[in-house]
Amino acid sequence: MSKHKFKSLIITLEGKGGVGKSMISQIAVETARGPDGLAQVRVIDSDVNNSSMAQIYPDAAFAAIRDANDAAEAVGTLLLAMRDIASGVVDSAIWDTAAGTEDIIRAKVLDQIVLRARKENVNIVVLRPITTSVLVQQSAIDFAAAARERGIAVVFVRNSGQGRADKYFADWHSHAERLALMPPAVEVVLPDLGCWVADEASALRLSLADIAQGRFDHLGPQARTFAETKFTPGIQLFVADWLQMRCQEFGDAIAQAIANITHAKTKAQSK
Amino acid sequence: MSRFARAAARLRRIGVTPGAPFGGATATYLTVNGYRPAHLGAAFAAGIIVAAGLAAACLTATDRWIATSEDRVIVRGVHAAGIDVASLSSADLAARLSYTPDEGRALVDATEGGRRRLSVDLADWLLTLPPDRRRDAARWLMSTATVIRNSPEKTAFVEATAKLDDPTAKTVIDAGADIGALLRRLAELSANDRALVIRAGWPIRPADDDRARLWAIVNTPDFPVGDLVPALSELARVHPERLVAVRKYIADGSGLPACRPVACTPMPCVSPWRDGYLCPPGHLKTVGPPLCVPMPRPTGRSQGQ
Repeated sequence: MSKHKFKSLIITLEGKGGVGKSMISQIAVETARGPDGLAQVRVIDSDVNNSSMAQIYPDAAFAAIRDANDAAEAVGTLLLAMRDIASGVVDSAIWDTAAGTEDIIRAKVLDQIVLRARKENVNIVVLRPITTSVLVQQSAIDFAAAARERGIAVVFVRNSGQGRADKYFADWHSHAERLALMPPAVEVVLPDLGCWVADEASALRLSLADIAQGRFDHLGPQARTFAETKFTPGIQLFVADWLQMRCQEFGDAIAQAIANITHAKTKAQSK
Repeated sequence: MSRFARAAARLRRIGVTPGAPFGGATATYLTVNGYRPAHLGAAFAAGIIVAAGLAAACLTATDRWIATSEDRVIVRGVHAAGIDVASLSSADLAARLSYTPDEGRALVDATEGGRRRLSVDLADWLLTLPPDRRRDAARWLMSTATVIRNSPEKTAFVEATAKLDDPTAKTVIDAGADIGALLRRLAELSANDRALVIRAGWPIRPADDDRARLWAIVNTPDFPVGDLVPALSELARVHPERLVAVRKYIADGSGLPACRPVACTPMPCVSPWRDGYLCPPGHLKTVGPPLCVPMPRPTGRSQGQ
């Protein structure tokens, strides 16, 4: 389990939908909460059409971005989060962005939060889901190149679930631009969790941590019975092992990405 | 221990085995990127140590030890090598493995392209080494990366080697430890298990003279380490508590009351896997061709405890 303290705003960002953003954000939350789950983490959900994070984490802040007019409110929520990170109210904040909002975020939000991050000495880490889509891959690479200039740490999260076998990532593996960006960017693999575990968890508004720890008490009677039937002790154990490893790997990857970009910034400043 | 590890341990204590949300396939370890299903990292580390220990062999009578009893095999192995049990970090574990001189040369002038492929920390570490030692090591690191086929695991994998601190790395290079073999084996594991190996921390610390002898033995090309790993991996996977018992036995002699050491009697020395064959006094069995080599001198710890 990750032992790192990140002091970071961690953003899951990809314009295309269905790439696993919410799953990745969930893992980021559990990673940032630390081994005991006691670290304070601010969860920010922007997915108006599918607010899965807000359903799983009832204390989540909500920062809708439908168009450029919403950006100001979202920026405010993020600046507040960074202030709380800097002052120690929370250790980190995880922002699960919505599909179709990457362009607005990059145009209207990113520069402002980068400026505040520098002032507050807070890290910004962007988790980029990678699928077999060439468009998604190129978008991630383009972002990573721009992020390097802005001092934003980047972690590529290669989603190997839903049948995305390694052979379909051959071009990604050999992509010259990607290789040139690593370091400072870092890559971590998101292995398959099984075709129905995530679906049922989402339907029941259960987090993976809930399943791993057998926490179904907060569900209604019928839902609880269903959950206990579906998520047998064997499945709970599987998810616990799986989540344990993901938190470790994500934690290491995020920490390394932060170290890399910090090193790069220091080198650039010393020149 | 994390809350998820505690949850997993609680379930295992009551006899739960991992479920299978993959249509019947075992879900304990996932196959990622074509790497074969997992062995526990601790079992792998134990396999290396056991193999090394068995090569240095032991004084206890083989007719008292059942070849299929993996626990006793492990205990016998580590005691046979005169290994003192002590806490050992995962990095130290890597540092105590043997290496062949062809593989373990010193580190490189990292080329610009090569440096991009390495973590920043590792690249900087390379540059702290004497120039005449850098070249070969970077070449070896890159060839190791090629072994895992330029997959994303390479980056994490190379970064894992960067976590070796300077003193450990120096120990590795100076003493000629076989990081190459360890890392190639790590490359075959899934990302999950590789993390376990890095964190294995199997508690052994060999004495210096024993280490030198073990290295000489395990460096033989046909040293059959691979045969042990699957058997021990199965043990570690199915009965992880048995590895715990083995550790306890090594530490204070308790936990395996059925194991009673018996002194060697003069007999011709043949394969250690065959019951009833013993080494002459003052000699140790080796794995592979039937050979006997002189024992290391005593390290102060009683044999066969």
